[in-house]
Amino acid sequence: MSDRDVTFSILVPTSGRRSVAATLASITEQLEPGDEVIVRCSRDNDFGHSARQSMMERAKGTHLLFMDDDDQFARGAIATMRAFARENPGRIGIFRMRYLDGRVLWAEPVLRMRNLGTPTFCVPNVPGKLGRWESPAYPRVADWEFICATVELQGEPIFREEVVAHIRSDRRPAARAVKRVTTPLAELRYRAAPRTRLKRALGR
Amino acid sequence: MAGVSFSIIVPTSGRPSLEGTLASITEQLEPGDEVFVLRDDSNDEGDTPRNSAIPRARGTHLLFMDDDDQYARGALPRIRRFAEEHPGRIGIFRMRYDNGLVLWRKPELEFGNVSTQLFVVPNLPGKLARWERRGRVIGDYVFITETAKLLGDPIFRDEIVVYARTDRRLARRAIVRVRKLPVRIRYHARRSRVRRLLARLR
Repeated sequence: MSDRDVTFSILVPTSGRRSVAATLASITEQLEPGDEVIVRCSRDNDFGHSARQSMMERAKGTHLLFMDDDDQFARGAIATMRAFARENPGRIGIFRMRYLDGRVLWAEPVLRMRNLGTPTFCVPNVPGKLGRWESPAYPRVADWEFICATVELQGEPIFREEVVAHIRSDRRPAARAVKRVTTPLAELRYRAAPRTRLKRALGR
Repeated sequence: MAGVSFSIIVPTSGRPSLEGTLASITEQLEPGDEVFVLRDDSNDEGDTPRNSAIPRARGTHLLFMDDDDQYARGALPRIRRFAEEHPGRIGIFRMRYDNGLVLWRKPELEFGNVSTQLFVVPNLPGKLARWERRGRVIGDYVFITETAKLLGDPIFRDEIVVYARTDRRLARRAIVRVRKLPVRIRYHARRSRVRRLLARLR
């Protein structure tokens, strides 16, 4: 495989949230010829896993990336992952992601549940050597099941330090600062709402 | 889930207008819908990526979009209703350019009268033609005429579902119109220059 052959299929399941427009903007500003983005709308309440599975079976890129509809790629993230894919053909890469509150995953470079996140995977698209996005008993950990099964088939992943995704946050520093203020306010409003409703019901 | 789901295919050359195009799509998506965005530089007006995406589409209907156009608000629900009412039929809607031109002009399959963004095509594998240029005739016309031979005559609809090279939002559309005014003036000046030249030759 020549250096120029690395192309990405970026899979984005969405439940139709408004944040998906910013997610896609963070992707499209970084696309290179040959790359593709597949978006699938689903409200199956399985964290988008069935949609991801359906898209993965149809992806044509040499590597797969996964994105959630309320997260964004960091600036330059796709170029970083492309450089990684060129340097390490056939290897799985696991990058890092940062939450709005500053928490960063992976915390340690090991395959462990709750230490990884979907947007940090960079997986060579080798049909027959991919796990399934499925966990019938615990749908929440299907990403864990997927990466474990894929590692078994493709070999140990390489852990990388670079932060490639901002989770429930924004790729632009100014917008991130704004979100840091508005998100707790929105959360407060959300928490207060049922109580007010309860109070009103009791008052009645 | 409703019976009709869309696969919307968007080839892109990397223009920044793609962001607005995708926003106009995602705000109208329903469960089961999917979008293929294909970054491509084969310079064949998106024929290659469209041919690559069609066999992979799982929606019941195919829509095609360009990366500098936007769907009107409420366009997808309107197209969905059409698809539900006319199962198995091709629909051809209308679009408005930033300069006010509206396509289709007359409800007929003619070259230059129909365009990529207007088609809604039932996704029936084996009954879909390929996107390919034939001489001066570009891919969209070849695709729609050949597919119409397989699926039957299209139904022409009056509703405007796409804004070409402009914006779905009224205020933004006004801004685009003002911003592009110099381009239009220059364009018409050039045309009159050609006319003047022809008159002199005569």
